[in-house]
Amino acid sequence: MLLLDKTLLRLSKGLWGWIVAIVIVRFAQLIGVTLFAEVIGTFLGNLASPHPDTTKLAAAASAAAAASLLTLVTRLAQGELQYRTTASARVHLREVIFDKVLALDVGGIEKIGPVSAITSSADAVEQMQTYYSLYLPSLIFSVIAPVYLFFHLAPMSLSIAVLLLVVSVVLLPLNNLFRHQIEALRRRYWVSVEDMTAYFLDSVRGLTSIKLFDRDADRSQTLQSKARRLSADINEFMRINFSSHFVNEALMYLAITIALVIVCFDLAAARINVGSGLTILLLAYGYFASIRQLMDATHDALTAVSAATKVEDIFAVDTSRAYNPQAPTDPEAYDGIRLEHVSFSYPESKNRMALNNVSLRVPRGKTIALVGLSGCGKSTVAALLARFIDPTAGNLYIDGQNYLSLTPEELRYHVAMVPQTVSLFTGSIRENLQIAAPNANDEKLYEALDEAALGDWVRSLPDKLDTAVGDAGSRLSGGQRQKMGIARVLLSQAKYLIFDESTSSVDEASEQEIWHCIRKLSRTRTLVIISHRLSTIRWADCIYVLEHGCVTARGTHEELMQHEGLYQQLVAEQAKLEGAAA
Amino acid sequence: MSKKKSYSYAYPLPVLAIRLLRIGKPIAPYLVVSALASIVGNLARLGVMGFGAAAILNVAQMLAGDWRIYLAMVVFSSSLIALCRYLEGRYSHVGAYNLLAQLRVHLFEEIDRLAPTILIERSQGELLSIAVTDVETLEFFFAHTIGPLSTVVLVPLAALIVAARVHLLYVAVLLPIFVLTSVLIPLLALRVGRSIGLRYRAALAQLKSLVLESVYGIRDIQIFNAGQQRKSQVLEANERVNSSAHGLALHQQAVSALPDFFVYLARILVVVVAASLAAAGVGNPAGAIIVSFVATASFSSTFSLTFVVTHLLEAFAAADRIFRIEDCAAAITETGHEDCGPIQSIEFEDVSFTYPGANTAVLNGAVLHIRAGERIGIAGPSGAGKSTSFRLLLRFYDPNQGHIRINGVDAREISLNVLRRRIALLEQDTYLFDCSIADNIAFAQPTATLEEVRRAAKRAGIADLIESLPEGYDTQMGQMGARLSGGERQRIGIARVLLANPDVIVMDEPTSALDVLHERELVHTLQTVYADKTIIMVSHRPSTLSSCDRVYQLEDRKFIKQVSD
Repeated sequence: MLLLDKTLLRLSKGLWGWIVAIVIVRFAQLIGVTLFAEVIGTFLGNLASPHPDTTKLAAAASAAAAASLLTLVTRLAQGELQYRTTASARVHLREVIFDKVLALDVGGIEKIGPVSAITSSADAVEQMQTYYSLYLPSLIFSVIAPVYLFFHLAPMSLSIAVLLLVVSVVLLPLNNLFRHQIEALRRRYWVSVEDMTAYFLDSVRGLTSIKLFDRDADRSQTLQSKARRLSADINEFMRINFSSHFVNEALMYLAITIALVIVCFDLAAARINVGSGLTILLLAYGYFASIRQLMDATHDALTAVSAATKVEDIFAVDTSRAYNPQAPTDPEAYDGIRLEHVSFSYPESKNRMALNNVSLRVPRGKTIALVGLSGCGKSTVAALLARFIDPTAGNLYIDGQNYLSLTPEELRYHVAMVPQTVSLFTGSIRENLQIAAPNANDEKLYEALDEAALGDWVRSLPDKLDTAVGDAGSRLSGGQRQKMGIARVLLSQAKYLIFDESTSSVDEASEQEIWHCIRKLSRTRTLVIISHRLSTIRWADCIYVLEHGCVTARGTHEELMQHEGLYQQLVAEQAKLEGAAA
Repeated sequence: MSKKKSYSYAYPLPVLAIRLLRIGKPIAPYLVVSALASIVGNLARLGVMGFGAAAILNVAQMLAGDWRIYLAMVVFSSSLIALCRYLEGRYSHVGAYNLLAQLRVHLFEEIDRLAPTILIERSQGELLSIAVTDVETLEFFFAHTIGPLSTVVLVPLAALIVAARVHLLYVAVLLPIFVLTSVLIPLLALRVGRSIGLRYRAALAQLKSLVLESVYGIRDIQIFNAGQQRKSQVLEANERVNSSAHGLALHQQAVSALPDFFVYLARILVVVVAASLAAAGVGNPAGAIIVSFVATASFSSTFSLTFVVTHLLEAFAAADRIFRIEDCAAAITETGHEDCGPIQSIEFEDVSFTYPGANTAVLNGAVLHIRAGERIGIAGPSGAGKSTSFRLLLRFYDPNQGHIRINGVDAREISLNVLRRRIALLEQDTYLFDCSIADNIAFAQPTATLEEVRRAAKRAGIADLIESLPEGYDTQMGQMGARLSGGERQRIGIARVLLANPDVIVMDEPTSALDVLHERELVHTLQTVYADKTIIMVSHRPSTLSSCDRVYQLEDRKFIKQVSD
């Protein structure tokens, strides 16, 4: 079946040398196999003649042995070459796809869903390589092999040579008749796989809730129906797939049988001798080997093509970020970060403005705080500042430069963030810190850890900086995790630090330690603090109050307390609650 | 678990094979049809070559009979090959995939049985790879092993019978080669390759975990421009996949090329025997030719066998991982089936608990008494055992010593369903499932009406936000979930628990992500709507626990009552 996939071919750069090499060793193999059939066929024919010449035995046996040795060596070489092809493909594909995943950034991953990003860079790559190591070489070889065999058969019987060549030429388009249906079924199967995988992952991640609310039974029932649909889709695919195999095999054996009939007639008419007759039968039996191999490879190639289709979906996501080195600089040349009439709405909910005409200033060296009820747009401001998203309208400036004149990477050199839940990665404490500063030595690392009130704890561990944090940091408590996040931003040397609800999920003792440390940082760095705990940000140089995506008030704590409004109300409520606790 | 250990099987191969076959029992009829088709199809190959040679020899007047009959036999054999290939492929796959669907569900149920401990012990990436990739690999065992295995004995036997009828010397030549290619090489391949398949799988699983973490941690990676650093780690893991795949590829190729080579040698030996018999004057050239042709075709089955062996290794590795999960003992077992009735009292009596594998106890002789309608606060720094105490109450684990009694009945004697219906947990991080907001809120009560869902959402203070979304309660969480703030997700969790309507509500840091107004609202809700409910609140924040009747501090692995001023 002819499967020329645009994505796979586009990604095949640098692999064609290996692919051609595979075709060459397979051709050498074919020479060996053909030689073997001719030697054995001819010698058996000689044995069958009225006066067999057994003196030729040594010559025939050594020629056949040489031919078999040739096939052995080329078979092993083929394995090595196929490995080399998959190895380069693996490196190349993983690199390209992982780059794209990185380019997708936070917003893009949200859009396509984490599962497809994971399957594309992990499983899809494994499935795509066989296209290069098996399918493409088989496709080229299935054109060469019949022609080569044609020239070997033609001198013995032109009609048989023509017959077999014609059948081999017909098989390819014949297979393509099934192609449409098979591809459609494959896609359906792939969709079912994704559907089931996503549902399974969802179920495993939320298993605690599932168990506690006693939903195990219907969860597993839905899984069962998804699994059934998957197996029904696969069955349908197999039915069509094996029907196509049936047609192919039937046609091949019909051709062999007709060739046999011709051999019998030619033999009866003494146009050929017994040796040629036997050689023809042997060659005819192996004539379609290249096409069978292509059919087998097609199975893998279809998997590769559907995997490539999924990968193409990711490539199709536009990850180009607004970038304009000539973007107008800040007319005010403000020393710090400035948001000028910034609005933002998520593409899928246009009528709900997450931010509406927000202007605010983050003066260099000062601390500003953003407060407001959940959903007021505080975190959207943080995402804009770190450039996870770009505004729908308005401008952001940093040190007088337009945000758009910097790449996200350049910008994040200046701006770092401690999110609500810090993500840690499997590996040591050192490795987790070094993602912010790959060359930092132990001294620097401890310095940052000390500032984050984590140094003593790390020193008390038997393995110190080399202590493993567990899968995704699972061995660390919430507080330790957040402190790691702070140590990380300190190492990054960024001037502007954003704390987005950084202490909302840690225990009280850690919370106090973290605030103490943030307080100290405010003397040397520029901070943007987002918090709903008002007591913690009272000391900020300027507090912005956000309501429904708009800035409704700003000023110091004292200034804001003088006016009736949300801030005053929130402070009063909180005092009441905390007063009751005291 | 040491690295070395993970490369070898936890079970002996025969045990793996027997357990796999036992799993295959329900699809036995499919397997029988496909095995028969495989045998008949492979025998028919001998027919094509044998009768084909016979037809030629008959025309050349070296063999008795009628060439048209031989030709008819060739046609008949050819049809059988095509038909059997269809039957074998179709029926083996139909059977195998039906079984796979069941296996997936079975595996989920196994993981569910071991939850939540298994979620702490194993990474999600690993579980996902077992559920998807490993189960898929088992397809190979059922679809591509049984047929070729049953032909491996019968087809060479048929060839040997033909050879024996011509001359025993041919048997003497063919038999050792058959033994070599059908028994020795596959067994050797299995032995040598035992760990190769496992290594490849392990490397791949490692890579997948790395990718999974990178995708879920993309925010932190991007903040520090650590993408390239992360990428080099992925490429390093990729190198490990490559090096283990190299072993796999070389093994596979050697295992299929070597028998191939010996088959060529066998065919040469047949010719040598034929020539020496002819030289000795006892030759039967027609017989020799038929033996040679039959031998050519008889090896097709051993070709597929060596192919099977290499893939079998992967199937065994996959089965090994699946059985390991299957044989894990659950942290607790359901021993009781009692319904304790509406909860009147909860008593921790001298409860001690150490996590499996840990050295130090989390609770030691802890005592706590709670009556219906009380609001109990449990405070303490992280790691002090706050979470452990409600995990014991909800029976994620059982205490090592002492008892937890509900209405005077040991929690172990109460059915888990009853226990968890009467005590609801509001987790610190609310997990939102990939379905609509309404379904997420109604997770505990799937039969709840939209009105009830709305009411719960309103009480939890999330209704306004939901109603502002274009699709309202039908908004799918798959896309939106990540965009909701921690507080918003938690309020959905609160709505979920409110709708479940339990006797006791356990709240794990319920207000950690709530702003003051919503915290006040929640406290208000608890005070009015749930005035008659028992509430156990675990928090490090005094303001949250301020509404509690009594607050206990976890100190020295015990509950110490705090004296209010």
